[in-house]
Amino acid sequence: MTAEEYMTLYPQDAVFIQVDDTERLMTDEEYEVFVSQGVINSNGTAT
Amino acid sequence: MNGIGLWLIKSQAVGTAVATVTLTGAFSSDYNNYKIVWEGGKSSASAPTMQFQFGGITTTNYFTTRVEQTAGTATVLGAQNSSLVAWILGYAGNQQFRFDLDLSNPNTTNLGTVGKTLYTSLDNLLAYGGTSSHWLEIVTPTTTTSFTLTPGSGTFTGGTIRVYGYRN
Repeated sequence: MTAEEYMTLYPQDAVFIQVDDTERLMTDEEYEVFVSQGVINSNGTAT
Repeated sequence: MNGIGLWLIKSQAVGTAVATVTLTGAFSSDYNNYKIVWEGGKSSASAPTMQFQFGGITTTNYFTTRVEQTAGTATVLGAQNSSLVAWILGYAGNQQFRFDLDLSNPNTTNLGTVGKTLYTSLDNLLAYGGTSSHWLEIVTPTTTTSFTLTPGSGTFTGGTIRVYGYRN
């Protein structure tokens, strides 16, 4: 899976960080990590 | 009240499309041993890992061993994860999962912080489950009161996470 495909599956405005009862959108930095780690793990090269 | 051995500390419903879920105020000096159960959730991706990290402990000190089997197969899989930034509790199903994690000494994490997980998942109509053992390699005791659960890829939706303390 490419980063572009991953970002299409999980757009930044549709994934959330939840802390207790509070949900928020990711910052740009957080989203970049989310995408990079998700792509790596989706492709089976990490955990 | 003196007969109660398991005390519900916190119950948290999980929302939709959550990339990480953090529960604060989970651990304290009141208990040495805890149970954390997440039932009724599902993952967006097929069988991503369920990753557990203590609040403030983000270094590569997490170790896991795991045994797993899929219903309908005779093969038993073994795996280990060393020097990661989180425990790998198991694999989360995209139809449903249940994770049951027991911890010892999470409030003051040190070499005595250990855990075990029993998990079951349904993923693309395949049922599988396993058990994992966990160890946190922190030499200097560090206090933590929260934890975060993260999928290896994608997001989680739904279910409820409950934290219980075993009476000392």
